[in-house]
Amino acid sequence: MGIDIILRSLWIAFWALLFGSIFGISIGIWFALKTFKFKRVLFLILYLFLSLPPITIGLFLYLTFSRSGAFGFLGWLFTTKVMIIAQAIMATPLISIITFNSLEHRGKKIYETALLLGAKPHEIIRKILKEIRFSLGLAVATAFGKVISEVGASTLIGGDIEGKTRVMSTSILAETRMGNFNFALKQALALILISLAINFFILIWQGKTE
Amino acid sequence: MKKLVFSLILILLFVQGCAAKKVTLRLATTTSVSDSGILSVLLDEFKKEYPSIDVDILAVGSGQAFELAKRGDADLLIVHSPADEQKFIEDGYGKERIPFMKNYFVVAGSPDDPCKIQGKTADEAFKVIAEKGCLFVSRADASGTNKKELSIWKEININTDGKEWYIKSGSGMGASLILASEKGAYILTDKATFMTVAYNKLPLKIFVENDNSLLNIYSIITLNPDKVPHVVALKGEINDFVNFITSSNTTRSIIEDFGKGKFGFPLFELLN
Repeated sequence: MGIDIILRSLWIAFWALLFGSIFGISIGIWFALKTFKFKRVLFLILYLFLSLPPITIGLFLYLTFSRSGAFGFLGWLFTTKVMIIAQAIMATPLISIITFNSLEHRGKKIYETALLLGAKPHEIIRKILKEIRFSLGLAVATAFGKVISEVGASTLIGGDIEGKTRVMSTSILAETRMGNFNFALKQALALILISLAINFFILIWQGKTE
Repeated sequence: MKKLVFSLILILLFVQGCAAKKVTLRLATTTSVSDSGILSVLLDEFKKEYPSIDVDILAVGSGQAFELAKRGDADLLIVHSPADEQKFIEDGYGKERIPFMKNYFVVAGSPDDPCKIQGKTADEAFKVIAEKGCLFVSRADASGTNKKELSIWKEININTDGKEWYIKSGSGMGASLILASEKGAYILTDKATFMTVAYNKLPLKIFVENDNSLLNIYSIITLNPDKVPHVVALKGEINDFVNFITSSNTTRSIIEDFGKGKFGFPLFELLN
């Protein structure tokens, strides 16, 4: 009971965090190491996205992926794909800002030292990632908490379709609506346990790489 | 470079993993139909007879259901808002409207009946609620139930705008029932959702029922391909589904029986 919903939630969150981390970490490193025109404007946009209520992202994606919208031809609305996109959009600014903040002062130093030592680009990136792994762990854990618990956008663009796009957060809402408080409570408990487990693993991982 | 290749592979896997196999129909319907559970029973039987057709239920208010259909995001509708249905067809979006089942709206409220509406007609009850200023929860979401409620206020010439006793929930039937029970407020609800969500679960009781003005008719509505062209490709599947809902013996017996075992009477009735 509800296992498929839990797995689907984790599956969506996994891809969202993967894409969110790829984009977020890249943006964060780029911002920390380079000086360029319009950096401040881009920063502002990033912060704007950070505080954007998820439902506005949902609404925007709904209009874009609706059959009468620009990407309607893909037929992605009410699938897990568009839910992954929404969650990745929520995760990216969070991860990039935390990456940037942890690199703001020491990023350039790490970069220049590594260059002096003759490190290749991918070695430099690895070095940087290793230096900021604590912040990255925090970023991913926070982003996970944000995306796994999101309801509004997930309902709007996922449609809360049983067996296809119903996830933990939307199922809690749907079951409560039907008066099944028991099921809703079980899902809520599972949500808490999973969050706990994931944060635990992130902590262990941070310790191991020390 | 390595990273790029890696991410490309991941993106490919991602796209492939989501490829569609079956023909999927998207049925936009009201929360009252889906929350009562009858739709999942109907769909289970439908899937047995037509294994190649998948039906996705989008449970929204009637208002949103119409909008989804207009934008091309739904292929079929099951709604209960006759005036809106008429308009939807007149505007050219809807093609056919086939009523197939009914039940009744009821007025429910806190068991101590603070405004003494027990046994009154719906019009009388609403009048008393407004005069005494008893709390009342409105769906306020342009759903069929909400439209019915608004039409009653209009009929008895009462303006609820900004009234302190008038609570707008803006959510589905189940959530609104929960709100009404918490507030000790009255509420207009369809009987099926009331029985499923509130009966024996929430401190709410029915005070007004069996009022002929509270008839609630559910219809299935197909879309006009001139306005919503994508339905052409799904014509066969849509026909199968409409026939199943409106004229199969399976559906007839499900509607006649649904809820009998649990409540002693069926939650819906056939129209003829």
